[in-house]
Amino acid sequence: MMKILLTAVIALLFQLVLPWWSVAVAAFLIGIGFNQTGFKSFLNGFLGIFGLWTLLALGISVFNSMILAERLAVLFTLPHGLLTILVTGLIGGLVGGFSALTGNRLREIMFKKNDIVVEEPASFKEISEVERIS
Amino acid sequence: MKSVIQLTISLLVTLILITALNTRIGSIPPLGKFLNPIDGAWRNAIISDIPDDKDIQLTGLQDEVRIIYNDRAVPHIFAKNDHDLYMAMGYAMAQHRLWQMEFSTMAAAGRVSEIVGSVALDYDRHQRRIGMGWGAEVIQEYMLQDEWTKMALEAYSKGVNAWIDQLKPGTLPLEYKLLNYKPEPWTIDKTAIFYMNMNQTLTSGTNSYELSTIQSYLGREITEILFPDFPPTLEPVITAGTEWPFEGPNREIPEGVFSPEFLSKEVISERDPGVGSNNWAVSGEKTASGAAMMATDPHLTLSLPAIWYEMQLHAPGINTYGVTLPGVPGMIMGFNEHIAWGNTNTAWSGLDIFEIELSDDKTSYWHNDEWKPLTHRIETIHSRDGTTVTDTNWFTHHGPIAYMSGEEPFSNNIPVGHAVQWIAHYPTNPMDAFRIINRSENFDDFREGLSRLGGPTQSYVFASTNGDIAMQTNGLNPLRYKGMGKYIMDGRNPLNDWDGFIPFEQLPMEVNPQRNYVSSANQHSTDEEYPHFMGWRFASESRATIINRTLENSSNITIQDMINLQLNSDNYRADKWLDRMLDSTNAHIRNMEENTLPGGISSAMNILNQWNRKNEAHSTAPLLFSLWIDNVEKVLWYPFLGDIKSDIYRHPDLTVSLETLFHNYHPEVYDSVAGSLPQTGRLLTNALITAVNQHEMMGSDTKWADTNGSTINHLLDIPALNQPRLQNDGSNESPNAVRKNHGPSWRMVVEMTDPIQARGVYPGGQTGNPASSGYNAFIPDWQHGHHYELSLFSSWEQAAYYGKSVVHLKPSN
Repeated sequence: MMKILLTAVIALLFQLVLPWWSVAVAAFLIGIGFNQTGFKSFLNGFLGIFGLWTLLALGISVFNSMILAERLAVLFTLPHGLLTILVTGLIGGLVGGFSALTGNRLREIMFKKNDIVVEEPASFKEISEVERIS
Repeated sequence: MKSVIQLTISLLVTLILITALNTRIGSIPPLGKFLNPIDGAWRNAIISDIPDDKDIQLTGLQDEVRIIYNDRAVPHIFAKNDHDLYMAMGYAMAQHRLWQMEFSTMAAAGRVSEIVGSVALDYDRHQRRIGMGWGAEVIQEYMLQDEWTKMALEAYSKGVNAWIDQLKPGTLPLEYKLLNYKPEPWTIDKTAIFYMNMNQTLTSGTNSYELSTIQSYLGREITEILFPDFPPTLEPVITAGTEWPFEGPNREIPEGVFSPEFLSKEVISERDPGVGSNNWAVSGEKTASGAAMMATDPHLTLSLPAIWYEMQLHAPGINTYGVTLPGVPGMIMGFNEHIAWGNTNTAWSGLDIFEIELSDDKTSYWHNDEWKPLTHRIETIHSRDGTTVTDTNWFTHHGPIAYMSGEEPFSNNIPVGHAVQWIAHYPTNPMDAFRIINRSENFDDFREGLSRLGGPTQSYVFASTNGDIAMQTNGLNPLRYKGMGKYIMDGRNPLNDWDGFIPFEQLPMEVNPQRNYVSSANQHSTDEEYPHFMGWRFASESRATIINRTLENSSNITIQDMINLQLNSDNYRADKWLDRMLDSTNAHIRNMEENTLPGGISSAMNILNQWNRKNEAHSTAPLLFSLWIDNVEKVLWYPFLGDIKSDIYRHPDLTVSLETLFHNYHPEVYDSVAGSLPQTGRLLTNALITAVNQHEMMGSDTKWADTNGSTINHLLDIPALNQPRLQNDGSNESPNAVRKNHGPSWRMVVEMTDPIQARGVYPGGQTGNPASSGYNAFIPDWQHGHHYELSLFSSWEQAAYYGKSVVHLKPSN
């Protein structure tokens, strides 16, 4: 849960100053920063960005009485305005998931090399402790 | 090794995904960029139509300006000098309509390829070939000779650019995100091209090439009877019988009938005869308040973002309220503390077509018994996909040759090998004209302003607080011999050359006529007594007749009476001819030997018989009547088609058609071509059978508005941004000229009391932002004729008292 939240928060901060694809960098950083299975890292990256974009689009749509959501539904030939919010989340989620997975795979290569020298890198220990606490 | 492969695959997928979602593919916007909720489309849904109270520093402003927004997001601008007024106007307009302003100028200039790619190349080339860019240059050069105009146009541009400069990726209008491009800086030439745009909409119509074709097989004499300069029923704008203290141009008429080489047997596009406008004014004699009153409702192709933008402009020497076109600095229709005005199109011929004979090497043309060199101009069309096309435009002294032989014309309006001469190519300063109009205190001031407006050529209705009412036409109208320009002209013959324009003093006008009202509805400007030839193709008498009879029979008129007349949906044709049509059909049916009529006929006749003769949305009768009339025209004129045999063939005016049907209009002509007079009852019965069949095909519960109700499309015609069909009353036969995608684009009524009372509404909303409820907020009220109160405030404090928010613009150093 924490990794999902962290992905979302960092992505949001990045997006405030950088173009939309900076969400990929956020997910990537979480992916490389934590020891997880590939599947889990994809899932966390996916859910982080999916959650961020879905909630934002949903919040905006409530504020906007679904006017834009309904127009976008016509634009993308979707049967309901809510689906455009879901599609928005899905697109963000896919980018987040694959970026996180890329980070995760890179981490694996880096740490396999490190594993020959030391058993467990210090930085990794710290982070996994944080994770246990949360 | 396995990990490296996994990493590579994952990285590649990520990068490809991001790239794909950041790229516009076909017409699909870059999905990631477009849908991300921080600065994509969703961001536009939280842009407020009415800005919050705030102070804004603007570079270039000379003094402070206050913009007060009312609850409908109408900006009331209070400036301390003209410079700041026009700068704030540009700033406020761009805030609501930037995309529309830029897109419509690019479309007019033939630059759509830059936005959508080479699919628009033919369109772009056509715009340039008819001299849109060239004309804009002529206008701009002329306008910039005037110091005030230069100052105001520059200030306006500065204001638009101040808005563009503060935009962030997230706050770009939605359409830029959809098409994935960015606005460029606003420049004076964009306003110049916008004036061309107005002319293209209103003065570029011509039917000369249809008439030449018809003449080729019916002969000049019959063509003239079927398509007369003056129709059998005339209800001119200027009171019939008015005397004119001058003579016509006395031009020599070329001998013989010119037969152009190029004749069309194809579908011919033309200006829709249903497009038009109404305006009228009544004197205090006729009103409840004793003050003069005026009303105006220009009918145009309705679009979103709305055609008009509503605002108040206040600075020393000017205080005016009304509507203008996004891109034009100045109030086009509205009122000030002294006068009110509104315009309809005159439908004068503003564009002529000349057949050109080129030399074999296509570098010169034959005119006045000698070869004269063509001049040329290179146009460069950039396309979004990176290609650049250069195109040579060839010019005669008449004007540009739109299409040289061997080329494929984009528009059937202008055939290959013909030159276009168009009033829009002549210098004029609309900015200066509207400067005076907006500041006028009386009719003399107003006339002075109009005398400087070359086009579009319009009928301006006028009313003032001192009680005057008037109708004044304006603009460039070539001095013509009778009939000049009605048919394609021989470009070789100097007798066909344009040779000056009608002096402004001689243009049709009237002030305070005895009938105590003035009105116009695109019909003939004058009766035949007027010494100049203005063209022949005017709106029929339908709307004008309903308006004039209503005004004649009214007294103690109130604002609501004027609104009711704007909403009047009476069917003039049905009023005048339906009984006769039904009688004649009944007589024919009674005489039929055996009754072989399909079942639907008698019920259709019942519906028509009981009809109140109004084109109401949920009524079946107007649809049946309209289908019936269409079929009558088709059957009636079939023998006159020659070898054209096309559904789109131009029929004579409906009044000519119906009077011909009843043998009241030149029966000898019909007899000579068709071999007999029309068999009225039989023809009507057959046409009704077809109409009833057509109606059943549509579904027998199809009502009038299901086919005629307004649809208001976005300029890009993207369904997601369009307004679907409305269920509204009206037709092109009634003052409430609702007709599919055409209709009243701004309804205004002004009573010249002290203070002035004004009401108005247009189909759209102040903001052009499709993500906002404001985008089409006025449409339901427009549909039902609920006009809003229009308030001309005398100070910003007063405006702020009634307003929603105050934006305080301050000069920055």
